[in-house]
Amino acid sequence: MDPEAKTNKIDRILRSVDRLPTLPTVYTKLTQLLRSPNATVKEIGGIISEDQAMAVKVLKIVNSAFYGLPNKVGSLKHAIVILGINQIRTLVLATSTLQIFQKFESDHSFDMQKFWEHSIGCAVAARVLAETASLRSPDDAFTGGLLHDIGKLVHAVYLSEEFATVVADCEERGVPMSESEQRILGHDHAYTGKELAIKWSLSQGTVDMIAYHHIVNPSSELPKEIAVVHIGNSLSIALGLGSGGEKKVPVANMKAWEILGIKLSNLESIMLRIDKFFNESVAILKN
Amino acid sequence: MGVLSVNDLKDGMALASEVKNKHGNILLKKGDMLSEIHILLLKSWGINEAEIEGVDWGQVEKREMEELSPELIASVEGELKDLFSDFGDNPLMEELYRVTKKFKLKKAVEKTCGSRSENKQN
Repeated sequence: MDPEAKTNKIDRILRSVDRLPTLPTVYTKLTQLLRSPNATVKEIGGIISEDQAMAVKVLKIVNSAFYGLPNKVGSLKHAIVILGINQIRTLVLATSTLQIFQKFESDHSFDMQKFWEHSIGCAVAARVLAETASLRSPDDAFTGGLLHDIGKLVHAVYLSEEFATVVADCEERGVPMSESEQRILGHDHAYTGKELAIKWSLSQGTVDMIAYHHIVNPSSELPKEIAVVHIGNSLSIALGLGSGGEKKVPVANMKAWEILGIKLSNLESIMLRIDKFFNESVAILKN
Repeated sequence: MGVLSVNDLKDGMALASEVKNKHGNILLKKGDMLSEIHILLLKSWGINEAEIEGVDWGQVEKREMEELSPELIASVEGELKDLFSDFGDNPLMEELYRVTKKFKLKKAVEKTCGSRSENKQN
């Protein structure tokens, strides 16, 4: 199959909306509601509460060490007031994504459980980096990290046979998965992930974090959000948090690090924090 | 003199420069001798590093490495060889390699001799 025909195949899959994983209604409803300037805390809380599992998870995250809040937050309303609507929406998106991951069993060469853990590992790493570099929204970085490899999920589920070849190729030759994907599928998971994110109407920032997490040649205008996902990916793989099928730690770009303005002597304490938060996050998000 | 991560600070080390918080307030003075309590406080204040008299990274690492068996080091180095590809001149990857090695050694030690590792994580 020539590369063009291959790319067409994934585009066809991406176009057939009903075959693709969808975000839960609670997220779409919430996004709609937030477009209205008159949305109240009560209405927002009401929508999230319709999905009890979601409500419980959001509260668990808010009460985790991530936020280091002095007192326990007992209600969604309280959580919305403390964290703000946008942060709550980001948390709902993150939780929604995890529900999607969990729907797919690993019945192929690709270990879904490990993939899920890798996604959380990268999310936690991106968040810790974003906090250290004082980015405006560490939660957006978390979401970007969580979704950065979502294209692999689409490949594993909808192109399972070809993707099994990709996994084997990458294992055998020790090359980055995107290289094997380019060769065998004609496009990589960053491309597929980007297309899915657009389909889901995610913010441009999130789309870019997914599309460019492999950056090779960053300009000085590289958004810091992309830099934290790019570096977070390497850190989480070095720490061995789950696995997205990559054999080697992707070479993190030095320029991307410089853009963040973090001292290299901080890397060790950053890695310790990632390791610590990872275990807590997996425990919270798992059930 | 060298900058150490708070996780490597030990009882009895002397500060080579003052420790300030992000607002510039001085928390500990130059020359202060660190106690366990100081180190705990630094961690709880969110301080990541401190400049210490007469110590540098290389020394700390060397001392830690001397306590480990050569077999253990060899097995961890083998693991790292599979994990890292050639990254050329890249200070970030060099530091990532160093930290990853340290973590892996620490985990390997904890595995083989229970809680012998004295370098507790916070």
